[in-house]
Amino acid sequence: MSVLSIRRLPDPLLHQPTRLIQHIDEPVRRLIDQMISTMRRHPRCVGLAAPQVGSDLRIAVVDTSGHPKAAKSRGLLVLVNPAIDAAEGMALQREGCLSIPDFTADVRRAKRVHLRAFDASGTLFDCWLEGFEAIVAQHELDHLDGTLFLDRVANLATDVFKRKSYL
Amino acid sequence: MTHRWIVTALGKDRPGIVAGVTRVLYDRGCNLEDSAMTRLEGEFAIMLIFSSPASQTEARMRAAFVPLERRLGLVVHLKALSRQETTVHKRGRPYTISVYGSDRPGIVFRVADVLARAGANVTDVHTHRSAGKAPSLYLMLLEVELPPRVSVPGLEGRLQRLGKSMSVRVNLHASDASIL
Repeated sequence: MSVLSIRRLPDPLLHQPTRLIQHIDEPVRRLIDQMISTMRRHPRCVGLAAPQVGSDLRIAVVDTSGHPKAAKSRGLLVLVNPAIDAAEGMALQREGCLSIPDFTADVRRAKRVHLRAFDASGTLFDCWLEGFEAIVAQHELDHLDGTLFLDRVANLATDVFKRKSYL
Repeated sequence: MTHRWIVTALGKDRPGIVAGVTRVLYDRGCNLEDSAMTRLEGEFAIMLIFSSPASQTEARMRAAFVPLERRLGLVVHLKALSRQETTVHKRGRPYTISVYGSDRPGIVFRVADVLARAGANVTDVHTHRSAGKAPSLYLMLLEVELPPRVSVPGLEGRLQRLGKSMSVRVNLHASDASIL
């Protein structure tokens, strides 16, 4: 399965909102598989959104299994037309992004989120995500709205750091 | 009675600069206060406020840095701070602004100009340009203090219009003082 190249800032595609998928057909299934392969190819990558690989479809993949920060993980999540319809609490986490290789930032996000999405087979599901997995989901859903973590920086003194180790 | 000073030092980056400058101050019984010291590409830049005992005259302080300039290849500038300069100005509401997009001339100036016209006071700026393969990304982060009379939605609107005209993303957030 091929690995897709990652779009990086200042690529304008990273700021385009995505469009809903009407039907999970062969090209969509192929994109999902390629996104999973691409995510797995980058060792510290736990999530990937379609705009990062040049697509304007509303798809993201997440996999926090085995990650030291993920106390709980649901493993591989394929999110088609995802939406967060409830959020609770606040958490601060250092985030990086394959599309912004030079920086990491501390970003404030919700601690628990209620997620609704279709899976790769087109079945609607919903679940509560918490902790690290919730943060990753929020980061990926931001991508699907054309928002990057640099858009959420609220405190210069403490929040943005030049990346010390490279992806 | 103590004196207060601000010293700046610029030089090609190499190990020993911070130790060298702070040793001069330590040897003269000075007390370091606020500072910003950073490497900018190949140069190291220091800005440092310190207080000295009354025995350290201006002439003595200036002389103290001369051997350092020679040994470390630094350009040092020392300025005595008057009593008026040490009063803290009344603070406005703190906000953080992030600006980023394809590098092009005018980003810093035009944003700073909008802020100046609005009466906002910029207190901290960091910029970064990603090197290597084109197109390069320019990122600017500013902390500003807004006096009470400044309308935040109005300023935000002006910044968004500027961002559109320059093809850069602009975000304005109230600075978040609490961490968790």
